[in-house]
Amino acid sequence: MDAIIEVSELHKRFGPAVALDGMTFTAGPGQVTGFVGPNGAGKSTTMRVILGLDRPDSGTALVGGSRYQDLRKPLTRLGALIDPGALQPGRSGRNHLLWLAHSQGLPPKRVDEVLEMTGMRPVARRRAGGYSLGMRQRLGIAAAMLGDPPVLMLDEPFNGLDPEGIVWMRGLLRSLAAEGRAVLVSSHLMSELQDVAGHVVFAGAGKVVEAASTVAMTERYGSLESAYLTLTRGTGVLR
Amino acid sequence: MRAALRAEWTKLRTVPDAAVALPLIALLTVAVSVAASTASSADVVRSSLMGVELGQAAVAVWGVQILAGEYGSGLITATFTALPRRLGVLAAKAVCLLAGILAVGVPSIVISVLAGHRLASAYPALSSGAVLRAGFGAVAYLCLIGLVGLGIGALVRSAVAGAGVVLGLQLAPTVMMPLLDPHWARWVYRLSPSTAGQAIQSTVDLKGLPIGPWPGLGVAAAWAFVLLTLGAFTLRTRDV
Repeated sequence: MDAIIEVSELHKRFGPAVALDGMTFTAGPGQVTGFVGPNGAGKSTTMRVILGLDRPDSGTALVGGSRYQDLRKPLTRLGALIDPGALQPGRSGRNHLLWLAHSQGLPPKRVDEVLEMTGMRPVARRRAGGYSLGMRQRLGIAAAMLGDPPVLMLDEPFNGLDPEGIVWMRGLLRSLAAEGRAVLVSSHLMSELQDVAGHVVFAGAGKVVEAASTVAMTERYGSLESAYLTLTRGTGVLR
Repeated sequence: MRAALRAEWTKLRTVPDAAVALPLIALLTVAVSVAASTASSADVVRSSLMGVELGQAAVAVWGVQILAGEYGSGLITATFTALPRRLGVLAAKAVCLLAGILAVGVPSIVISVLAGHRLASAYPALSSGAVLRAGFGAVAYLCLIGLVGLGIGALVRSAVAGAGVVLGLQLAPTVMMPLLDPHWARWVYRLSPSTAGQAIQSTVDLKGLPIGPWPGLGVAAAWAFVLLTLGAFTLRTRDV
């Protein structure tokens, strides 16, 4: 029951601009759910609403059946990577993870585990301000995995990774899903999602235009990329 | 709340900010105080605490920065994702801020008073009511100014803008008063947090002051309370 994100009828405006216009979908356990759509489709806003950072005008977003804001020790329920730049440049990567661990009552030992897991151990004591985007992404994954959560939500996790990093990320996403977790991944890289996502949600203009299994989409359109181009045509106007 | 406090404390001790701000507050306070004590003055106790005039600026800017600085770096997203109860975060930051101000304010004020006692002629006994009130009052005033900074930081969500606002709030009365009609100057003195708040450090001719020591400290406390309340409301209702 815990490994699920349920987004229902989210509406949100920023002044005159409609960001979310009835966004509704579910990301279930044991698979990677791809979350795709043009810039401005509302993917990032949806993720911020799920995390309680932005408040929707109406609608609900639930993590394992609860609102994120109501979760105790939320990082043990959902791990998120939405802004790899959300760091204080003067603090080391290890100390960034350390305060996060303290905020959830987790032991420092867990910090070393996730550093090892993401390959960040050799640079963990350096200032985060000096990290490349790829290192920040890995540190962000380490932060997301800190609480060993049943649900993960990653915004553009492939950004800035080198080819080795991309292979690593692909393997990580697969294994997280294989462990029974719900993994929601937004990306513009259809070829990456083609291989790892079991289910894909296509967003356009603040709502879902299609949601189906990757297999079904590939059968109908030939590939995720052509499915994307067909389904989101005309919704990508920058507003 | 305990987890929030622990997290904020870890944040504080793992960046150089506090390591720079705190010694700076001490240095400014003590240096100016000692210098002032060598000059002749009608109120030697107040003169021996002259450093508070400068130390308060560093305290206020640190108060702004401890929260508003996170908006600049983007760290605030991580903070409120880990600790979605935003008022708990504000409270934890206030506790860390006060702990830091006390850790540095108490020794600075003690040194300033001791130096004044040694250097100035006719300094009252250290155990006299006036000296104790002025000394403890100066520490309390620094704490309140730190909270004023924190409240402004929560309202404007930018370290640079917040520092500008809080320094303006502190300096404007001192700049304005000589230019104003004496009647209005007294009102500015009574209502602004820095002039009214520092009345607690006066020990001579209290009847002649525009506001008494304790009511004056009360004005500074009111500023801190109102700004923190508005800041808390902003934090709770606005999107991050």
